[in-house]
Amino acid sequence: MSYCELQVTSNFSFLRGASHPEELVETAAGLGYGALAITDRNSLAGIVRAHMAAKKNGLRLLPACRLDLQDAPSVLAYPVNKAGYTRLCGLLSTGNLRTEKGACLLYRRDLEEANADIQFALVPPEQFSAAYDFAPAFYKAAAYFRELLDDRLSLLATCSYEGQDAKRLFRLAALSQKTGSPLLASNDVYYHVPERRQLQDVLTCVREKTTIQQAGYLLHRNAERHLKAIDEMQRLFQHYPAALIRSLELEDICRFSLDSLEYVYPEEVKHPDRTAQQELAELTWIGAKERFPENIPDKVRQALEKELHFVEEKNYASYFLTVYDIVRFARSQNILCQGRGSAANSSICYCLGITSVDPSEFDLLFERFVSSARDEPPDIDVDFEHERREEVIQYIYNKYGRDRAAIVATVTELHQKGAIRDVGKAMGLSIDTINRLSENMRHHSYEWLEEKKAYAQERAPQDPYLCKVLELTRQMMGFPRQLGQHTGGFVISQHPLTELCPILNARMENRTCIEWNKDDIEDLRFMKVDVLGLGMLTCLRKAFELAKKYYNLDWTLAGIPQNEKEVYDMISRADTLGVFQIESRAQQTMLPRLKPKEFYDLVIEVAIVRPGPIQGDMVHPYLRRRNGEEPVEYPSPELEAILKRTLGVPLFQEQAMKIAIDAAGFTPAEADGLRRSMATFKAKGKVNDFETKLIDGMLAKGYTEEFAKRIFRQLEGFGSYGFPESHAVSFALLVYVSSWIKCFYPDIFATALLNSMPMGFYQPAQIINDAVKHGVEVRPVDINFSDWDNVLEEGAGKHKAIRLGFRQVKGLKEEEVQVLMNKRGQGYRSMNQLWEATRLSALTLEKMADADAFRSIGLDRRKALWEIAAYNDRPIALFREQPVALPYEKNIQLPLLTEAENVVLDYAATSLTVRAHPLSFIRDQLTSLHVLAAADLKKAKDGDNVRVAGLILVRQRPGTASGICFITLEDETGFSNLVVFAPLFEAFRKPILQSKLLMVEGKLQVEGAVIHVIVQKCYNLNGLLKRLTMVESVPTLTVSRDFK
Amino acid sequence: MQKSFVCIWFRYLKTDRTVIRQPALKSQPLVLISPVHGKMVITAANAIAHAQGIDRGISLADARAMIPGLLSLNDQPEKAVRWLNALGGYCNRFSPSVSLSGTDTLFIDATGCSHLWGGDAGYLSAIRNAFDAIGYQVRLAMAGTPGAAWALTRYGKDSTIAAPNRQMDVLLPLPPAALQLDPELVARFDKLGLKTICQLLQIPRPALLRRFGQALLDRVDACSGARIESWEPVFPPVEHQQRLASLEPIITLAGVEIALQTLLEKMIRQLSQEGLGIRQAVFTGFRSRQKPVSIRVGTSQPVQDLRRVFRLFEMKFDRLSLEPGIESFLLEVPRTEPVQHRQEKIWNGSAAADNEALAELIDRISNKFGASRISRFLPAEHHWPERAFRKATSLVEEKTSAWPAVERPVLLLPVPEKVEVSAPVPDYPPLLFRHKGVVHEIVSADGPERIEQEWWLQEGIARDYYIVEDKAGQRYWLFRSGHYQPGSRPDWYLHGYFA
Repeated sequence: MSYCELQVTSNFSFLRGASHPEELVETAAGLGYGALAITDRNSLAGIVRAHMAAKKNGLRLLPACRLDLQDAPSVLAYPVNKAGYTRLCGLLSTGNLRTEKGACLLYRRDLEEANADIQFALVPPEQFSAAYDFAPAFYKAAAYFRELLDDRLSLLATCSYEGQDAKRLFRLAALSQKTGSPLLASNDVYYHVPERRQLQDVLTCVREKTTIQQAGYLLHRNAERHLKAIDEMQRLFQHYPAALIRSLELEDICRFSLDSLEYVYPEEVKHPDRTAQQELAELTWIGAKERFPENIPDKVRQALEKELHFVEEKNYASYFLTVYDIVRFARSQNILCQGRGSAANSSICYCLGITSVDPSEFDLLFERFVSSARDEPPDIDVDFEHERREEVIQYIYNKYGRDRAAIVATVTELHQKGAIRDVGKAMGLSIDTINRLSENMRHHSYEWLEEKKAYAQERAPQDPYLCKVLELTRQMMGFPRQLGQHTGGFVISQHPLTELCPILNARMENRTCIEWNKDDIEDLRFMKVDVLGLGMLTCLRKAFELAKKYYNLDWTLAGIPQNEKEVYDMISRADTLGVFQIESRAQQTMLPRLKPKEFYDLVIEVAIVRPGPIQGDMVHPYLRRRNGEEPVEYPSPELEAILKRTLGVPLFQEQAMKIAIDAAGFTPAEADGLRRSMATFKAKGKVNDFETKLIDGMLAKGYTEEFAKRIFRQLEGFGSYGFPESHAVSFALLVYVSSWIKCFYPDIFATALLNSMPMGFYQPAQIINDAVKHGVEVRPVDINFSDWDNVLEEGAGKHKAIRLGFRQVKGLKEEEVQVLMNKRGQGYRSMNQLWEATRLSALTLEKMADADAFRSIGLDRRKALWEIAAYNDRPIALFREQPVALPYEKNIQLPLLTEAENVVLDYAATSLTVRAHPLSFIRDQLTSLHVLAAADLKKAKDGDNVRVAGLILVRQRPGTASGICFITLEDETGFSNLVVFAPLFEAFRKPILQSKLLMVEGKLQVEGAVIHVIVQKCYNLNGLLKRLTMVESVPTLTVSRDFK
Repeated sequence: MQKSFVCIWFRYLKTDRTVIRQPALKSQPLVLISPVHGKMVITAANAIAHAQGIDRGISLADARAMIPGLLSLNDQPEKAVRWLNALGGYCNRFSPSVSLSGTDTLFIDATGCSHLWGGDAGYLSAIRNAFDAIGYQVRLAMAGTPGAAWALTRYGKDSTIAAPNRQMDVLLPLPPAALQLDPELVARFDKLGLKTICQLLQIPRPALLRRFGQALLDRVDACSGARIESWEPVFPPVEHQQRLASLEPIITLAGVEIALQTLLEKMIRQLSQEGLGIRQAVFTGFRSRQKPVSIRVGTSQPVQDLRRVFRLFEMKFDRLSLEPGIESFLLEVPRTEPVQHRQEKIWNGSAAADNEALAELIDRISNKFGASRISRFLPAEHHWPERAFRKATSLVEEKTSAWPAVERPVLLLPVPEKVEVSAPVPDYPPLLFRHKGVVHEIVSADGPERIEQEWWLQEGIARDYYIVEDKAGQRYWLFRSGHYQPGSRPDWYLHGYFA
């Protein structure tokens, strides 16, 4: 006799199950089970993982779930075949879509409508009366279900060791006899091994928002709800052997497997008379003629033929067509977009307009990315303008319908900080203790936990409680906690998605999701298109529009002239503020060392400054080799083939994977598994298996251990941040295009950037400063000249002038500004006329006054405010348009604003100023403190002791930089870059965190064009700033004493 | 008569109070926090934290970034007014008329009071000393209007005393915010460059009225004294107090006795209605042009007996100096406690509980053999049997949870007693057991009920409990400690008897 377990709650029943699906499956396999069902509550979220693990461990997974009904006892549901599975998905979707995210409301009537092809098992209640019987409601429900489901209903029987097992089994057997529903034995499993009971108790406390001390009877009294050996189950049910046999019968009846799910590409993207492949070929060649109107270069023609052949072989045509359709929609709406990803680097994509990287100029080598050996679905991510991505998303929903298109889920996993918080709270620790435990946590959790444990043992070896908390935290890390929404991954299918998987409402309005995440659907080989938002595309589209409007130029992503030396010179000077990707400080310090000269250098630049390569220590070798300081050599010819483009230094994800395959003997699937699981390894602690395999494989092929270890370290870094070359190529194009615009049209560039805010690293103030430095005139916001957006006006010099728009003014709404613009006519002449014309609220006008926007009618911000203050008492009827001031107000003279005060108030209202930089007003004081201006640092020498001061622009403490803090200061002459090492940061924490104006002393470090100040002392100079706005003159007049 | 007001600003009321309660926290930065939108935000910071740049409104995380390990306690915002109220009561010694403002400010109507302390300066320093002694840091000012006094505590020099009718002179250099204006209005003045009240007042009133409304002018007038602000003394701040004014100054002890008698009668009537008794009482006589005199008594338990309290006061009468005569009396009871009334029933409800004789019996037994001999048990929510109950602390205590839903013995042995059994492995009920030399043959049994250790309290092995009945019809609760494993035989125990 044998048995299989059909009632298993995994940790995808959030805060209930205490084991991962994989753990349950592996344990079941170890116990000799031939099959296992996962029955999470109203959810199928965990079954793909369980299925994949089951395949690996040679057992069969029954996809199933527990249906918690609102008006009846719960039942377990086991689909018998594909139809039953589809019905179950539909049922769950109904319950999900009925309510908000995270809940599923199901009723009897739902079950009455959809129950065919599904086997059910009724869960008896936990309560058992003093007369040793179940409540009458349960008997009624049993009869009801029996009538509804006939012989498709079983009764669950469990030995829970809670003292009444014999009596419960007896009652259930009697009921079974009476109704004819067979008994089904189960152990109501919540964890794979009994040791997990403690964690399950903690989860119960978290769920019930109580502490372990208070939980009382909410907890179970024993640890029996684990997977038990088959012979033990046989012993427990020795009086009811039929209940065990029933489990095997059910297993035999339920033949459905996730493997038989068949994903079908949507078909409406093609002409009905053609096959998808014909359609793709047709569109591709039409596109090719548009891209190359003269004639198609041979190189491209050959590539296209080869690619089309490959696509046909792999049956990917529908996928390309689906992406093409989305892109075509975006273009018809004038939404800028660009594809990236493995399949995107194809000539096909270029001809279809999905990408803009010209295959005649660059080696794309499609098959470098999509290797036919690696049998995985193609991957294209499409970036859209971030402000208009929602239009694309709604287009997809509308075109395919909500039943056929949905966003992929993300499974939010508990990281150490959340885990320790939950466990600590449940264990009744004080908030202070929890904070102490969780402080200084690093990203990589394993080392951290070991460290904490060592600390706890050292400090309080007698405190097993604390050690217990840490141990439970370790177990809980990586637990799924909720289903979120992927940033833009869409699954689109020919048939309703509910045939494949339940769908649910996302937290955002008008979005629906499926229950599975991207790894799950990749395992099942579903198609996914990533519809992502990218701020730079918004900026570029706006730049294109400005070019058309003010210069009458037609720009496109693919049409910007390539290989302009001036652009590369500018990039090499790190003059890249605002440019895509290479504007960060880390990038800017890299640029003068790398000195990009051609497009591929930009590809490398994009990939090189990332946590991955830095962590893997791969950056400096590349630079050294490039600058000829180190010989370029390859450990073997096979590595030369892989690493030639990057001078022998692996920089891209694809290279690292290729090394694993070619140099360590991984199968492509293993290499992919390695890459994919890297991110989650840390939590699950399986990293060692792969490390050993990789290093052994490479040693066997004759590589040195040191080199093998270096490769592995890099792979580790890639896990979370790694950048594939296929993405870098597309990004590099945006880098080039944005640099080109900045280089030749700084006026357009700054305006487009400002109109796309918020994005990037820099604030409007820095963008404007930068524009001014490049010879662009910037004009202030004004009621008579400004639009909502920033616009261009005729300028005196080479470039047009930027007229700041009202979008820069805090607190204004676009509709209000529209009113102002619509009624402007020949221009406003007085406050009263403006009032009469616009009827804008005093509050709105006040905000405009704060921004000093009334200069063109002769009012500075104070005078304007003074007039607005009389808003409710303005002259009307006969006296309309008269000046506001009444005769007796004639002599009121408000205190005059100094220029410094104006600057401070500009910042307050718009976060920027077109006047002088605030620091220019205190330069004298700074000079007397021996402070150098940022521009003067260039004149100092390496190792000099210097003092610099400036407004703090950026403070960064990257997790990977072991506590080093990077600070960028700004003064009227430019930026200065500071490095603060960890101990110093601790010592000067307060000035660093509290200062707006910071002064530091330190040593200058000059490396070529890269200048850093290694900080030794910090001073808070906020006092100096405050003085800018101090009242300079003490009031001289006295008010008459008898003022009453 | 020229009015005069003192404003007391308890700059660090909540943190001072915390430190008074926990002196160990003195001399270190300390903040109080409350959750706002799920984030812990600082609602009060003590002087030390404040000096380091920590202020209300910033998040605890930010503050911790500046001062690692910053001590934070949960704020109890609802309590501040209560504390302030109590402090107002304390101020009664300086004036009969005290008023509250916001959650951190007191006003004293000092009109005609300060000469008792040798003048205005002496008056202010007496107030300051009084609060210093308790542990509150205060800022003080005295002026002809409450508004002016408020302005000076916030924006003026500490302890400023404005000359009579000259409060506006000292206000002129202060910022407009000192007029207690709407923050939006203050911001607008700032933008207009009107940084002092003086600048503001240079503008003709009609222009101010047009733009900023009557409320502004009202505030100006209230500060200047042109308009009298409403004044609501908050008392009685001590919840229980009684006053008695005499027609003419009393200089005889007999008169004092009558006054005390009268006040006590009223007081005890009030207290007994509320079910309270006196734990502390203060009897104060306000003399004309002299400091008030008072005597204070305390009791060990709440008392409602007039004679008893009177006698306590009587013993201290010699400390009362009556010259030159007491104009009014005040009796305050700052501390009360519920009176324990004599029990009329012992157990409510059940038949046995109604039985007074039983209650008497319990009393007699516990008095004769010691209280520990008699216990009453209530359920405690634990699966582990030894922890599944607790001793009640009184006869009337209600249970806070249910007894477990499963069968439990009527008598649970305090210490399980070892037995020898003969039982089939692994976890079937025993066939017989031997206890104290007697062999019990088991005829029926139920189990096992497996109970694991409550791991957060104690680690250890699980027990399998069985309910068994022997041939004699007696039922027992047996358990096996641990499981049968190759090479080890777990012990069996008797843990209780069923009825």
